[in-house]
Amino acid sequence: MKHPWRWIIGLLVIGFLIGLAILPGGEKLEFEVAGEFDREVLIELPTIGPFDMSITKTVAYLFIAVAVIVVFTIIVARSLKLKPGRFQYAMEAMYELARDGIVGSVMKSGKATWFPYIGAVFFFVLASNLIGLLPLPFGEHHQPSFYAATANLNVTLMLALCTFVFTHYAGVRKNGAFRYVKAWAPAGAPPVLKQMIWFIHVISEIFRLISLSVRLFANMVAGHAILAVFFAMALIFQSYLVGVALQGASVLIYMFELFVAFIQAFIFAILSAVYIGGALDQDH
Amino acid sequence: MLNIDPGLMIWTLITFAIAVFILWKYAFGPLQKIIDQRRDGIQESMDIAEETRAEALRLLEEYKATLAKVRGESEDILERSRTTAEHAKAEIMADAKAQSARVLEKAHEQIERDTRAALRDIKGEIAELTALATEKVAASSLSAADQQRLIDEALAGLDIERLGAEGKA
Amino acid sequence: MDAEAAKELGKLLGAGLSMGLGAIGPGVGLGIMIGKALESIARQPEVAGDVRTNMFIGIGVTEAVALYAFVVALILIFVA
Repeated sequence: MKHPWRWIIGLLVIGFLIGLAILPGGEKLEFEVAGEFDREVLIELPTIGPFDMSITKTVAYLFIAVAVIVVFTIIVARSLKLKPGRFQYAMEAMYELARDGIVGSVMKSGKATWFPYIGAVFFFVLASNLIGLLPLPFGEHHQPSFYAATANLNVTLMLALCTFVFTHYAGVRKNGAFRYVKAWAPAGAPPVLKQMIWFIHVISEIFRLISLSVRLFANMVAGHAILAVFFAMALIFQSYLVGVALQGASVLIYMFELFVAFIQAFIFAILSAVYIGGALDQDH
Repeated sequence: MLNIDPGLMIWTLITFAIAVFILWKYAFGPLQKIIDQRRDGIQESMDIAEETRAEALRLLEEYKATLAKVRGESEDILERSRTTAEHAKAEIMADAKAQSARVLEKAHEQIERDTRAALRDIKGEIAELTALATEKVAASSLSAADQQRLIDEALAGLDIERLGAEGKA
Repeated sequence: MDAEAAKELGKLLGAGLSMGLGAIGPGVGLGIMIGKALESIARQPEVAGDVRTNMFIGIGVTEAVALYAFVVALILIFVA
């Protein structure tokens, strides 16, 4: 018995956990994970044609993302110094990550032209993803809850559509419409095979659109669903023991989601750069 | 989350366009500018440092060259003066030798001359003395003819050559 | 079992199976890919940055397969 206090603390912890386990759980709460992702209108706005312009929860998150970007931009632009402080250094590191790590490493030509778009995609998606990890009062009865604008397929599809449009715009502008479309099939292939390859390429272009949007969307939804499940585990299992034990796990999941939020923004931007770079330099 | 919401797509487009515009105009531009400025500053100071270094190297080379030249020159001068000194020494030595030889020669000649004079004197004296002594001895017993013969005999017996050599030595 | 319950059962079963089976392939693929990337970084640490960038691109592409399964599960539960 070298350290009696260790045993005492250990026994106390075990007693606490047993107490938690035998204590009756709280009142059964209805919890629906999917409810976190429902469309919820905050401000009613008129419908223009097929477009219902109401401010929903997702739109509010988009606004917050833009607001965060604006605030950071103002802070950065106001306090730029030749000898950077910590904040400016961090911002410069992010900027150089976007410029050298994303655009510089995958694009051959047109880096300067397309960097603003790809960098903006990176920072917009990153801001949206990270805001999704802040508990904001948009839940039921204005409870703090987790939600992200990018956890909505419409948002990611629109972003992917922007990349899709810009990819083909870049390709057509650089190579000319006919040459750009012709280069989708290899020049030396026999006629029928060539048409088939061309057709497959067209399908793959459309699938790029889907994969780009669904990857980001599904990552964010899955991450938030897992976070919600872990946070709500106590309610689901009606047990304090599970609740206490899983809080540590949910902190780990939260950290992993931070990583995922960053990685997904990175991947979205780098794939946009790859697609646009591929349309610019059609050497295959 | 999966249902189609065209209004949301339009909102996404609008917000995204705003984000692109703001980032492009107010964030990326100034950031790039400040990074470029810093890079230019570093480049400039590195260039200056490089220039200074080159200048210093050049000066060092120059000094080294000058030093080498000076050293060579001084060695040359030393060598030349040494040769000159050697020459002068040799000349002086030769001069001195010649001088001493001449002096010696002269001394020899003088001695020779003196010796010869002394011999001549001695010869005369001896003849006189002999004549005197003979006269004293023979005045009573000898005729004039005998007297002359005896003088001649005595003179012949005297080794004048040996006397000369002894006087010379 | 009435038709409504059967439909519900099928939806849930299909969603679970789609997610579970759909995660096998990408899991194996991601493991192989990240392992190879680490191997190559260990062998040539000087190209670590390049390898990492390409690894993330590969992760994004491979992971998408699992996420398709996830989306299919979501569609089965909430839309179908």
